[in-house]
Amino acid sequence: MRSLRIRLILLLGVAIMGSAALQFAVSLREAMQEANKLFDYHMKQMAFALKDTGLDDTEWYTSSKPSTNFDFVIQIWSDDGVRVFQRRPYLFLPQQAEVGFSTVSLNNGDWRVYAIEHQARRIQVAQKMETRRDRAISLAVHSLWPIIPVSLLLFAVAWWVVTSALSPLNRIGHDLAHRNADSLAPVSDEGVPREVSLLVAELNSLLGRMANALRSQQHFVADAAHELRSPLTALKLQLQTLTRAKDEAARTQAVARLQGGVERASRLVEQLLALARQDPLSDSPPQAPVRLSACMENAISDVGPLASSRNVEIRLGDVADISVSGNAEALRIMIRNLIDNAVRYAPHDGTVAIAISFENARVMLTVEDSGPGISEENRLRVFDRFYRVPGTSAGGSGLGLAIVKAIADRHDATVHLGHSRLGGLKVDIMMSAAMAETSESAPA
Amino acid sequence: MKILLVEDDVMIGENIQIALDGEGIAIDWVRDGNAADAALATQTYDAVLLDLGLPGKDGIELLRAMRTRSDSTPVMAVTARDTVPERVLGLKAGADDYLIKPFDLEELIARLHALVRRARGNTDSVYRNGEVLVNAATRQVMIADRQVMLSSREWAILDALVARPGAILSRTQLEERLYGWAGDVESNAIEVYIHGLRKKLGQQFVINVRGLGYMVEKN
Repeated sequence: MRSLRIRLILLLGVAIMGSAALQFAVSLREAMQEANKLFDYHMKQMAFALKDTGLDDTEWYTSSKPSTNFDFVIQIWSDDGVRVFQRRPYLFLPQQAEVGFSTVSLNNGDWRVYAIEHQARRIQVAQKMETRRDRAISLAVHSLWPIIPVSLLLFAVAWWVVTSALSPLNRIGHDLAHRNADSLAPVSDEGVPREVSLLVAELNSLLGRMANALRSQQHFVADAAHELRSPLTALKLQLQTLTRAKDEAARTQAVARLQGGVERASRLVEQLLALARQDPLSDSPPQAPVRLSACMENAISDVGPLASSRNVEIRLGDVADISVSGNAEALRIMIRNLIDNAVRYAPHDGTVAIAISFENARVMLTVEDSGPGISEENRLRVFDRFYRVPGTSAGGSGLGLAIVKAIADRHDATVHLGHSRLGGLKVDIMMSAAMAETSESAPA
Repeated sequence: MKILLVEDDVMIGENIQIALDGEGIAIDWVRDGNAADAALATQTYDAVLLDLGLPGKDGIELLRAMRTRSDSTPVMAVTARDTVPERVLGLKAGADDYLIKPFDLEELIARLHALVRRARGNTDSVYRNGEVLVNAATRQVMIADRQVMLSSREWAILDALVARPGAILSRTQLEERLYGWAGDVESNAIEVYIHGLRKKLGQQFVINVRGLGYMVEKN
């Protein structure tokens, strides 16, 4: 039974009917006892009334008086065992029973018998138990008939109470069923009982989280679409410039520009994909012990060509050989982005310094450069997607630090921006070590 | 024609500069809103090509500031923001035209010409003086139904002169029309191009007002 309403109504209906039946049984039993007591008393009174009358007339035997309602059968025997009187003809009647009350079973049913002995006569009053039962039942039914409308009324009230108590659930269901597929607005908990309002609160919290996730996805897609337009515009313009180029020199230059544009577009797409993969909603990466220094070496070799083209020196400080728990590829991308940024923003012939240190079970990766640094007011915003520090011309996608932040967040690492001794930006990444491995190696 | 390009994207700016340069349009290129403000305060332009997504001062802000101080230089907003509300916002802020990235160079140039023509108020864009007929829209110069070929520099000077017939343009003004900030101005370049124009269109076509500059006759 899927409907809570129907289930509640049926259960309450069964309960009401059960209690009515119980009440009927109890009053029937009461009525039975009352009838027994009453009829026993009648029989006794009747027997006592008969003992003082001179009943030796055998005519009594045949005389038939109008019967009472309760089918008392009176029999009188003389002391020689001759039945001298019997009222009402019966095929089977109890024979002389013992003195006092007794119950006798005959073929035509059970009989209640009361007998007394008086002056050599035996007077016996008998009554069919069936008669008593019928009387008791009719008494019980009489006392019971108000139960039926009361039960029906109770049933109706139960129906109404259940329906009205469940109406907020119905409304919520209706509300959810009739909203747009993209509507994640919270469900109103107006008039909702406390038990259900907990459920509604949980539902709303889930809807809220869904809406946030959806909104951030939509923002990301809108931002990404917007950001992709710039390199695409550049590409389109570069291509048109190329077709317009009149001489060989102009054509060569245009081809070089076009290559730059293609590189920029592919870099942006790569970074968008990297960021999308680090999205908190996507599946978590496999967590395994990763040697941070190995990630760093890979990252340095990735950035090597750019560094040498700008004649930037990458200087390694102390590099502790420590493993952290996480995804090697993600950590490599994080470190590469940091070094790439440092190399890009360092001036020609500048310096980038990298170190990995270990202290109190925390690993600290430091990347410093001799560039212009990031002003205090911009330090919070540089982690936003597509945010570029005003005045910078390195042509970045504005995603590098957003990716760093996303990867750091997934690895429970903190990113801190500060001022470097080299004059530029200093980025510290703090994360916990995977195991208590503290063997320090000499600078690589 | 001389325009101000406000564009922070180096690759896009570079290519617009090359393309407009090839069309004989002088171009000043700035990368942010504050530099654009400075340029607008010191120079006059035929049009502004304004990227709306600028670092520092936003393009819309710049546009509003221009219109507030009654600077009526025609502005073409160039942006990647393509939704209708964004376009409406740009036009309401005072843009005269709107170009969505990515765009074609051809379209950019055609719209730029249309914009400047509209701003000058001569929709037929034809200047006639004797046998000489200059069509600014098609960039055709005819003498008695015979087409005259001009270099892009010569055309730039002619275009500036016929835009306001009867007005005297100083050598400096013409140089500004001819080169963006990036161009090297040779000392006698204007004289050389005027000489070329006179050779092709007749000695009396460009009038030298001694000490003041050059003009074409008002027809």
